[in-house]
Amino acid sequence: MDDSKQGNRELPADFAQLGKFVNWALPTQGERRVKRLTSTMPEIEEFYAAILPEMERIATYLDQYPMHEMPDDAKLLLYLTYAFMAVAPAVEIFNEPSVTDAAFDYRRFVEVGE
Amino acid sequence: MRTDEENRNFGTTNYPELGIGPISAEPYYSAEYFEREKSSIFSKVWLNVCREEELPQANDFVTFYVPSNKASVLIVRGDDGKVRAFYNLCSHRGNKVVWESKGSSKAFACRYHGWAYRSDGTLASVPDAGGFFELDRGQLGLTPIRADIWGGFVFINFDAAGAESLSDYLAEVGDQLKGFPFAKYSAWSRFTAELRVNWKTAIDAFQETYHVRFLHKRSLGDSLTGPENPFCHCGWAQVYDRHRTMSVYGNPKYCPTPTEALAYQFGPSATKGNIGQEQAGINPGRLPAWAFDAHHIFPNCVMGISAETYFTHQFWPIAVDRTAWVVTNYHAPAMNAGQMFNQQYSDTQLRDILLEDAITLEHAQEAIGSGGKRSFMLHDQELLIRHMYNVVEGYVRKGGNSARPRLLHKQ
Ligand code: FES
Ligand SMILES: [Fe+2]
Repeated sequence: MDDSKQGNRELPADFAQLGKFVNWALPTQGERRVKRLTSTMPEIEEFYAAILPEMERIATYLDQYPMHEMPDDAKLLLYLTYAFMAVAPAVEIFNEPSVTDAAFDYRRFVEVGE
Repeated sequence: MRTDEENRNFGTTNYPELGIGPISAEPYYSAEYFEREKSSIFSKVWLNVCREEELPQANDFVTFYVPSNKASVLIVRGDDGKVRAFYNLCSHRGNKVVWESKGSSKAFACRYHGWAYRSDGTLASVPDAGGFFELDRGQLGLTPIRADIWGGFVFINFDAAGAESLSDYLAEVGDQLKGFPFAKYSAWSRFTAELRVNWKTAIDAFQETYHVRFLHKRSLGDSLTGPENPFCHCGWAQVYDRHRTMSVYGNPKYCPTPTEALAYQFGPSATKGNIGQEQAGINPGRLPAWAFDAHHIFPNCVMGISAETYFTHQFWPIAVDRTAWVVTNYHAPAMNAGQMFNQQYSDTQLRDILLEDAITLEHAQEAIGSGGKRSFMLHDQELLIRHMYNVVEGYVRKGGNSARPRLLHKQ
């Protein structure tokens, strides 16, 4: 399991205002997918609206570290952006957490090797 | 406004041996037909199973189950660097030797009675060996499965007596893909799903873009359609003896969503409407508005090749109406956060699109299974489906002993 899950759950100070969304910072694709599916549209929209305008600034901040040597707080911020990328289509395209209200449960897509 | 004639110029009539009539629905629901597919196709031809990069070092291995052949398969790189495939099956009394799905090991010890095998499959040791009567160690290694590598893809072939080489098997589709730098895209994201569909019902959804405007109207918007191509006609296609390739039109005027635009600025996209790409191994028709190519490697592999990224599907038949689906999205290892954003978005987008397919395909299979329709209609744009139908028929009717099927090309 990723250490950032147990350890420090603080975002870098520059992004402290995003602290209330830290529970979105999940290390695996599978977990982020489940989070998208089990959240309500108002929750997803709030998260989306908070992160979108910060994405450029976050990219600049993260690029001060080599990809595989990020400190825990930066890694948490990175995972937050991954979650943003996982939920953006729910807001911009589907207007619901999944892609359709039909019966196929997204959790039947099983992520491998994460 | 296009005339009907112009709308039927995709190429079906270039292949008179494929016909223009409806195709039989039976191969999509007949359990008896399915048994024949297993013996005449899945036990006879080369099957794409993984990438060589999944076992980069000597003694690295992967295992997986091939349901059509009821076989657990071990792929392992020997000390000599050679990649080999074996039935994951102990020579003593048949236990599955390796239980892990991947790892690295110089030797594999069977958990049942401790027989041990080297990474080249040979038998290394037998506990209390003196008690056996005729122990011919040279004959008691793991049973090999034919394996070979093309372009970094590992293929296996369950036909121990088969003579056709992998490169001869791939033939024109191999030529088409030559030069594409697969190894560069060594960072992958993979999911599997078990679908309640026939394996061909599933593959057919990736052999035409007729459904894009309808089924994917939300996920794909007008990225692959547009005023000049309202029904998402493919730009280019070619069918070979067994395999086939199509190139998908990309709308150059497509307006991405804010997040998509953000992701694009850091890297590639299959919906970007890449213009005039001339990189090796892509866009064989040199379409001016090109999104990606889909190569269908018979029987069960689809490779979607875009500029700077690619994805693969494998469809593993379990039963006439059950298929294990493996989807992998390949990226160049990200060098910065922006590239990671791009890849995360690409992985999300692929899953959203494929979920739309998955839902529909299960509904389709449920309906097909009734046998209420004896035949299906195919559009000119569904040439690739018609082709695969004919190739499958060729194998099944000849019991897998068929010579290479030959098509007459008009041009
Ligand atoms: S079955 Fe493997 S050692 Fe007996
Ligand atoms: Fe589709």
